[in-house]
Amino acid sequence: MSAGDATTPPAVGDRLPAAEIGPFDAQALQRYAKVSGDDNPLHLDDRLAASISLAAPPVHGMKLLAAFEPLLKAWRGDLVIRRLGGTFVQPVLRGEKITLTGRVLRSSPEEVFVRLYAHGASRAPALIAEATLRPSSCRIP
Amino acid sequence: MALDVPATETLRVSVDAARAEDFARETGFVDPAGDSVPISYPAVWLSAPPVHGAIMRACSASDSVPVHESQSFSYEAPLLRGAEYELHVSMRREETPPRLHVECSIATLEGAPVGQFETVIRLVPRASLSAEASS
Repeated sequence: MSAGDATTPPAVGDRLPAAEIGPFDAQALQRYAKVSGDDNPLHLDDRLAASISLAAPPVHGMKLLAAFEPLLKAWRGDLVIRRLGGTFVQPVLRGEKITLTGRVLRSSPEEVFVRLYAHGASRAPALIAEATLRPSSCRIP
Repeated sequence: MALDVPATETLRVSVDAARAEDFARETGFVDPAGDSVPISYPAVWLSAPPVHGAIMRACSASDSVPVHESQSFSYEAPLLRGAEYELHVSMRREETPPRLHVECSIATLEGAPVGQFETVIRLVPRASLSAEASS
């Protein structure tokens, strides 16, 4: 379904156009830490990352989860995100490109449920997420 | 282990317009009109001293490193730039495995519900990190 087809709900099985974000460098992680307040040194300190056998600090999981909102809005701007949640399965390291994908698992005129994945360099997903969307006409003012 | 913090707390928070813009930029949020708030913006409220302090105390008490395990946001109404809200924070600790659950509900100052978010933080003992790294 194209982004312009704003009157019908997506079909079960529809895939969101994949998007690539990153790679994020140390400055990007520092900026996110500053604006979010998540100054966990695990994301910023190379030596701390190395001490737990990571080749580089991991990207903040929240930065990845938040990236699904623009993906969803670009896909179907006529839908409003009612819920977004996810589980951080494994780290995406600084310097890795990240691929965001998604697929519609349930769909009705009232509500759409989308499974979302973020992959870093590993084949296994780094973040498994889900979003519930509703037509903007259902938006509670 | 006791949480060593008040289990619940109500805070006055706000969507600072400049911070919302910075947060949007750093998370790739596109808003040509410039008046929307990213749905994940409430994550910044976890850095409020009462919440952040409680997380740090829980880590310190168990000599652990906080690792973000899961996060969710749900809304009944959108957040508004510049608006103030009441944030009701509830925390509980799980022992096996060690986790901290932070559950927050957002309401207008008049008490109308706006949304909820839940953060689960795994408390990973530093000793186990060292052991994993050396194995």
